[in-house]
Amino acid sequence: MNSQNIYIILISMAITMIALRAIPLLFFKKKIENKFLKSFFTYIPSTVLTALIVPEVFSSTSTPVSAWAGVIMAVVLSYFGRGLFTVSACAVITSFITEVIMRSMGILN
Amino acid sequence: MIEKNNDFRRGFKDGIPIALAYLPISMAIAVDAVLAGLNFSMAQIFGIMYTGSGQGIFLNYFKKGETIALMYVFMLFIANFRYVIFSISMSQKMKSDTPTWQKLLFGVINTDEVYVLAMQNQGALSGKYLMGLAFSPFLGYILGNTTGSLVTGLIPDIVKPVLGIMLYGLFIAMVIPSAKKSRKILFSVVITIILSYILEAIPIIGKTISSWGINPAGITMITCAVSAAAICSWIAPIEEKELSDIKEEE
Repeated sequence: MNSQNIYIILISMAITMIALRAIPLLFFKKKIENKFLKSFFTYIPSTVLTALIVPEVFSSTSTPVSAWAGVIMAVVLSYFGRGLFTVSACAVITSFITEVIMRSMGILN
Repeated sequence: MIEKNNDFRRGFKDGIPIALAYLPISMAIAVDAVLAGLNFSMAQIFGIMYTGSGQGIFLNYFKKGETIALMYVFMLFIANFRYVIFSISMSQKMKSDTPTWQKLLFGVINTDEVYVLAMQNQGALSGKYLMGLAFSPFLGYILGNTTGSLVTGLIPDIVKPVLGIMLYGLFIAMVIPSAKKSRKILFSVVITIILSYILEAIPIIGKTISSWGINPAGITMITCAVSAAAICSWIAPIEEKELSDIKEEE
């Protein structure tokens, strides 16, 4: 992809975000009453995040084994209420250690 | 006049904990972006976008070579449409004499966390307080983003292969707490995972979309997220009081 294309994508995303945040504040005064729509917009952040994670996360490191190790660590830590950065950093460290061990055992090049 | 300026400062101070929480996050995302191939100035626009999940969408599509800007924008729009709802409830929380430019400035840098913090205040809020409250997290985020894009070159090569999981770690840490709080959210997560694997397992879908000259990854992701949310709202609509429970802890 050439850099002009990347700039176009980034700028159009930034503008979309600004518009999405600012415009409703000016025009909307009424509440959304529709139960389906309300539920839909409550669900959408978690379904989008999940769709981003799965299945791509398992190919985000050198081997699915280290990715799994990182994912399990992340799920456990965030279940016990650790913050975003701690969870993320520990996932990286876990995957890293897993790969180091696998390399020393000769399973991974 | 003096009292109103104090409002901005009070807001700015209240927002500092959020700023500190944002700093390492935006730094991590910026590192991932530079590793994916963005240069310094691209990474700055990337920070101004000011949305962790939106940036995740960008990186995910970008790494797969998606070239159509509309695909990025559409997914970003869907993923962040909740701001329309935030804004609607926010407009009822603001003092009625708040000038339009203050509404706009606040709106542009509003986030989930700022919204939650603002809603916990008693009574109507002034535009200046809200601008202050939203401004310190924004500064923290930009600072983290710029620092992150500068230090990426210093990261040793041996760690780089596993850094791809960093962003997913952030996402997992965003999903799990709400899934833990609400069975329905957990249900939606499970449905999304199942759908995602079903779509992945049917090769004809990917092939058909590729034959239109479009990268299938983006389309399957939108389809998956939107249909999972629709299925869940249909099977398990969220009641009014659950709604406030879920929102508060996010």
